[in-house]
Amino acid sequence: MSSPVARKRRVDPGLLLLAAILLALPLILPNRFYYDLSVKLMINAIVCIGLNLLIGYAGQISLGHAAFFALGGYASALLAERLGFPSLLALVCSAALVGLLAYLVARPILRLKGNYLAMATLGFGIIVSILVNQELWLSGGPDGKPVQAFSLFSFSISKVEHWYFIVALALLAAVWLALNLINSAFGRALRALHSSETAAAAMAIDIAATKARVFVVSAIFAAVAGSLFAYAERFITPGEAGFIRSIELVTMVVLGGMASIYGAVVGAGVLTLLGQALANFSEYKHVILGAILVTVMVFMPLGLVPTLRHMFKGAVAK
Amino acid sequence: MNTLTLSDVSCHFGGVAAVSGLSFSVASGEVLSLIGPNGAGKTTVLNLISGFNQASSGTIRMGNADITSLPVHARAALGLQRTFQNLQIFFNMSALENVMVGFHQHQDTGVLSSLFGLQKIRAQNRVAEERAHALMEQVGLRSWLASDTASMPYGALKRLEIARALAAAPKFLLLDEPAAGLNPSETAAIDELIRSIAASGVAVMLVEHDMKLVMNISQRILVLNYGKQLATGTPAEIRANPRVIEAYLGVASALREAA
Amino acid sequence: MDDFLQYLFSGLTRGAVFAIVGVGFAMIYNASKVINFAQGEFVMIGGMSVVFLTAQLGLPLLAAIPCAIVATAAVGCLLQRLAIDRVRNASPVTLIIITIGISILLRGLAEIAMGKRDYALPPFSGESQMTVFGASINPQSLWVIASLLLLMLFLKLFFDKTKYGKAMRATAQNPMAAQIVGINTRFILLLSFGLSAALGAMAGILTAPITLTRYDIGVMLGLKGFCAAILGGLGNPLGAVSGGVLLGVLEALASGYLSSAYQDAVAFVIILIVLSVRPEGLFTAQGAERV
Repeated sequence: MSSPVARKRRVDPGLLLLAAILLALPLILPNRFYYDLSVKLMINAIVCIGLNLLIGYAGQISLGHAAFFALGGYASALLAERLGFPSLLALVCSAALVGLLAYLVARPILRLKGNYLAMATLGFGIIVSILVNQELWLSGGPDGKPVQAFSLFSFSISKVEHWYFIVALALLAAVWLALNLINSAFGRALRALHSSETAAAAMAIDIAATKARVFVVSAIFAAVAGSLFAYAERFITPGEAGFIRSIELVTMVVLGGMASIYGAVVGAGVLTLLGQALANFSEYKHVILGAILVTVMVFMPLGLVPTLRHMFKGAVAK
Repeated sequence: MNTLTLSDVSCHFGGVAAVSGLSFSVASGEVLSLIGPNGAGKTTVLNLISGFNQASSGTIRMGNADITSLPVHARAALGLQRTFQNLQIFFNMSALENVMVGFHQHQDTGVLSSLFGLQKIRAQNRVAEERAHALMEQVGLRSWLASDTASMPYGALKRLEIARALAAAPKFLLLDEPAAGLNPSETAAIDELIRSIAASGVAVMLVEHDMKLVMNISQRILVLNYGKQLATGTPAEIRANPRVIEAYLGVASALREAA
Repeated sequence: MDDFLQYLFSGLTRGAVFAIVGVGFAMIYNASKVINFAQGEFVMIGGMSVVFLTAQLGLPLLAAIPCAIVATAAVGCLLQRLAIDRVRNASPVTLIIITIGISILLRGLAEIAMGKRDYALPPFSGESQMTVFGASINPQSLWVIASLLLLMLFLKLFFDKTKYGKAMRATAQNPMAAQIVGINTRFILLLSFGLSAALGAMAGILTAPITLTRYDIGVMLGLKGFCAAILGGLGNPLGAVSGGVLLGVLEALASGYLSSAYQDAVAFVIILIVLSVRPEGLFTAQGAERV
């Protein structure tokens, strides 16, 4: 399960391919509905890229990541609405606030391992979800909260076609950032502590600090995605912080591939499209989600992209 | 002058003293071997020095620094490296990447600079890759330069761990049974490697069961029994020490030797 | 004071349910080191099965209950054999995700079979409330608490005196040694899952007359049962009982004196605090690994 060392080329070919696909896609999108679907897909991908850093590369787990996503969205909305922050500033500040929260939560929680860590993140996620549901004065309660349009230099950006390009850019940026992070000493430290915390510590890696940092990074990815979601959809609901949402995110990462940035994108893509395809059969949604989780983890624990890569390598070697 | 010094170090697990009253030092360029019957506490000593076990009393110093209460990664950052009895290779990375992790403390590992892929980080990667190449050649792993760790034999992985430790440019190196499971020619290679490491000024401490290697390579030997220091001296002295012989082989042998 | 007693009684009742679920968690964890997220679904399946058997198939309550328990136990065993067994050596993260997937799957199947509505079960011994020390008690609560006490007795006898109980304790302590002395650990694993499922079903059946049952009651109940198990120390089935009762009472008090909206949060706040401060639980001796 190794990945290539520092790439000699300046730009990752996968990134170019993704950019090409994202640029070409609007040519075949028939109407606003599909633009909106693509926006949601790309936003999920951004969260998953961050979550994958935590789960796939660093080997930790978070069953409450939707909390960061929702908090990012709510914070942006509130900063703009209550404190009159300009939209871009609200987005940046909300990311910073969520990052701070993640940092405060990280230190005590990340001392835990495996099962205990999972439960602690789960507990955190559910508490946030309850808070967001209950605190009507802040969040608008279970009915959700309308969000003001994003405005930049007095231009209001509310057409979903425009959001497509903004989010596509954000996705490409997310991939680029993640690729950089993995291809650095910090990235190697992440993978080292996943493999053997003992040896990693012996290599002067501060385990606790490193875990906290990747946790914060992944929370910020989620928060930014949440803000983009709030602005693009002009609405945010407490459901975005819920347990099922957190599990969906983990499923996307697991399905697409652990320790694979493009895997995270693929996983988000597949599950978002699947969710949409099943929209008319909503009572089957749970069964299918559960079945996917179980079968992937039992038969393809590495996920789609790494498994395919191995098969490809094996075929080429013959 | 880099000297690793233990002064009256003890370590208790519950009511049992795993190690008590240990006092010795290892100077730079020296090879000190720690030997003793099974269960004598040898790995505990290495764990105490590297920080995986906390000393309940006594002090440990590296040069001028008192490291007794420092966590593992802090001691490593001060120049201490070790290998492990149960291989702790990073199996999710290639051989080369394993060695590159060794450079961690000498690199910029800041999250922001890493995220933005600054030129500095890229240059750092290149340098690390080149140095890792050189280190792998130095320990005799030229044929595994492009390998995945999963395909490497045990002996090669042991040497990889040493390369990884060397990448940190340590002043003090602890080797936990480096020759375990190796055949005679591999052991001879390890012998040479350890000599060259010590010759470059590193203070080396070795835990080993292979007596031939120990006798050949050590300036001094420390014999541990039941967590206590039984004897310290040159190989010749230790070989002739009746108490050492008794500890390893029993009283009857000692009498036979003396007679 | 009346209020307090009221809260106490309702807390004891809820706590008894959490306790039973928690014991199931602890048993499975003991045997396999797996945290079974699907535990809550066993509770759901128990209650819903009785509803199905009585409403759709017209079985009398007295027949439906044991059938439902056996059916749920079978589901538990099936789960263990088909899913958990195949990935015995996977990382804790993988196992957690699998059991989460199973719980979602089971919930989804229940949703398809019986929709999203609430279902009621008739109370075992009539509806009229009783008054004890100024607080009014639902007679079903007495059934719940009595069952818990019987369960505790049964478990004590089971683990201390019976062959299988002792075998389960041995497997929990040291699976390899247990195998060496001839214990069929694979069967013990199966038994643990089956027994836990049966316990979950019991909890579901006992509580359905009070709280109604629905396709998704398993989610919160499972998580709170987990909280009970954590409070008691994950490896300690009887500790889970204390944990469950404690949680139930705390929840009732919080709901009564603070706000019912945050009732659910109590369990998770407790989980976070216990995990941060004393992950080995309140009722076990020190020694659980943390770092």
